[in-house]
Amino acid sequence: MRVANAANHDTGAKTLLRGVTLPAGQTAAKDLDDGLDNIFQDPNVGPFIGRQLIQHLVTSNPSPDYVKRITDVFNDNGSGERGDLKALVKAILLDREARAASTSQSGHLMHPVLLITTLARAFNARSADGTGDSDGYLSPQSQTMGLNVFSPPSVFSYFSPFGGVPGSSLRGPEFGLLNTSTAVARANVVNTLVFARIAAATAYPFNPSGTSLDFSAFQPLAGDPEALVDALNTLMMSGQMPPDMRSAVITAVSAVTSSNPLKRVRTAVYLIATASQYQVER
Amino acid sequence: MTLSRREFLRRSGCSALSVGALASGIDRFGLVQAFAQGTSYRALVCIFLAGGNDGNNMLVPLDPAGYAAYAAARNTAGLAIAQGSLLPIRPKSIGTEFGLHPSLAAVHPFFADGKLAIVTNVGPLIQPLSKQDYLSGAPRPYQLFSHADQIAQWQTSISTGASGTGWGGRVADAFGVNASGYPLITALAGGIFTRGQLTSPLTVAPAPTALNRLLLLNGFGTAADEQARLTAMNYLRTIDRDPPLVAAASNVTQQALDIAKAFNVDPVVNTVFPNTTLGNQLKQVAKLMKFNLGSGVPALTRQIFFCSLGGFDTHQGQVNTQATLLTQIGNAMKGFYDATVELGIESQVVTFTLSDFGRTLQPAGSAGTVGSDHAWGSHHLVMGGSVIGGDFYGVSGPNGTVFPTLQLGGPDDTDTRGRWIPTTSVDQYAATLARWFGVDEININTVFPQLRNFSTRDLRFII
Repeated sequence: MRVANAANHDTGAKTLLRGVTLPAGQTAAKDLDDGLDNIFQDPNVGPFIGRQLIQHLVTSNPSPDYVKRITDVFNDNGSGERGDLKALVKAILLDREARAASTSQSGHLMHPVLLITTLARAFNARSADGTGDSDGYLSPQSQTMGLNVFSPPSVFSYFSPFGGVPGSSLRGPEFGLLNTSTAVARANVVNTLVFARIAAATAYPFNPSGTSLDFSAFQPLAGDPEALVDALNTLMMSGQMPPDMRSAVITAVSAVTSSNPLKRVRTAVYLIATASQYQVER
Repeated sequence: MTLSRREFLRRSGCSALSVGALASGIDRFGLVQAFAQGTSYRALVCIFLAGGNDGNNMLVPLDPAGYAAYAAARNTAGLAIAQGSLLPIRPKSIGTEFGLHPSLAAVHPFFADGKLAIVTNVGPLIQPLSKQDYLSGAPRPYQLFSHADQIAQWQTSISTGASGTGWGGRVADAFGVNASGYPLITALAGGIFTRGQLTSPLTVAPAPTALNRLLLLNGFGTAADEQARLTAMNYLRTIDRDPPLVAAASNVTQQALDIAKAFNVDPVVNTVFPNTTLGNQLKQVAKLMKFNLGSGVPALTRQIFFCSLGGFDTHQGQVNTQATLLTQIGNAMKGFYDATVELGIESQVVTFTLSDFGRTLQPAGSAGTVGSDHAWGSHHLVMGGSVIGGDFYGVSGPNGTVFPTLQLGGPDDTDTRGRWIPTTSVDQYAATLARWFGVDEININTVFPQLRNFSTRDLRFII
């Protein structure tokens, strides 16, 4: 965070948004505070922030009414407070548009970090050898999928909230990171996580432990491919897996010998995690 | 070869069908003869110099008065290049001598050979803008001197506000979507340049990744259960196609895998490329061109490539940094030109540079760590067998030439730091390339909506 430098400060009066004026002679710190407050109080901030949070948490294409309801909560959390982030996130996730059955327009494509973290959470990510915690060093994997964590290409982050979905008039900001190269990289990162592990790198200075997924909870179900896929459907897709997708995954799982329950689970998780039906969170 | 508006619309309308056919796996690259736009192959190769290349040290006047003005601004701080080390060139239409940065030695001979041209003091504009206009608040590009915004404007050729498409992508759009699913535009690096309304680029890794190692899925052996998994994975892309987001994600993956299948060989280009960031990108471009030309009948008769090299944001330490980068550019461009000669297409390929902005004539910092700051108009290289090289191109400025007056606070300066107001717009530069590529005058206006604001529609540096 850059600290205001008095020597470089223009001490004249300033006209800000909505014609608000700051008197001459204020300190740099005071002008900075007042300037930020002025922006924060702008009526455009609620819809601007609200819309983008909805896009990240629920859907790339919220209805204007949804954005309006969230803006109202931003403007007043019910106790007269403006900008209560906790109330905002709660309202976004519990909104009727978020809870209603999916339409063809709902949902958003997971960006690379979400693709990794959802798998890590779902399958109890551990160190590479499974004995300790994962080191969480997953940046190289994210990078191959087009998102270099902590190094966005510009101050406007990794993709534009206004970006479109190819071949449609819908918005799909995360599609800004999806191309032929990163699409294949997504499948290959899933392959590494599901069928192998991210090895501990001995040369790295922080004594890294790597990352592996733990499928032990699902192996007892492997003898019954339908039960296995249904359990994964609940865990990974909130029970929203389309029936034809479910059949295809069950068929592939059944092709793996029942004497190899781990490979059965891996086969199912790979197919779900690489599918567009999963990567577009609906 | 040009495209009528009706043809453009027809192809645009067909695109949805093509994507559907692609996703269902009917079409395969190589089995479908792509649309033909005449017999002759043409390609545009963009090299983006990320960070803002200092054009003031890339191209320096060598006539006594010109060099003196340059040195007066830069010598004390240690940023001026010694007169004797500059590589002399004599642009035909100006008559006085200029010098290229000594690190561009590899491409220096191409200027006299007539294969290298320089577009001078070009940059984003909305309309022609004199210093008087600038000072009196006439419409100007948004967020001047800011990296992200100026990169966007160079790559989109839209300076009135953010654009969702780049001009490379829109030029590709003008040729419709190839039924094979093999995009006309290929990205070796990221940037909005390659994104069109209809077109999304083929994105591939640079050399040394072999073409037949590109875009491959890992983890599938020949075992029956792994093949069953592959079958299921492929099937999942063909179902649940009603939600546009799901279909779009499936289509991108399908496109990648189809193209990976088509890349069944790794063509050999004998020309030796420098093993550098840009060298490896351009080597991959040459191999992709050779692959496309295949049996002598190109699958695509038009291709656009986007490469990028970073590191030009030289606020400090410019002297060594820029020299290293320009050496890399010169060697890579020379290698690439030689490769197009090897492929017999040197007159059908044009390579050109873009960059965020030029840099202030007035140095920043002091000796040892001297650099320069963000500015505006700058000079750009255009190279190829069809380029009318050996000259400078653009629209003449206040001094009656296309080269700006190197004077702090002078007639071309926005202020007192030597930030040149461009006399030639990105639109004019880009449209000249697009016209050569085969976009007709009607579509040129669609691809470059700001071009109508400028009376010179063609800079005529290429035939």
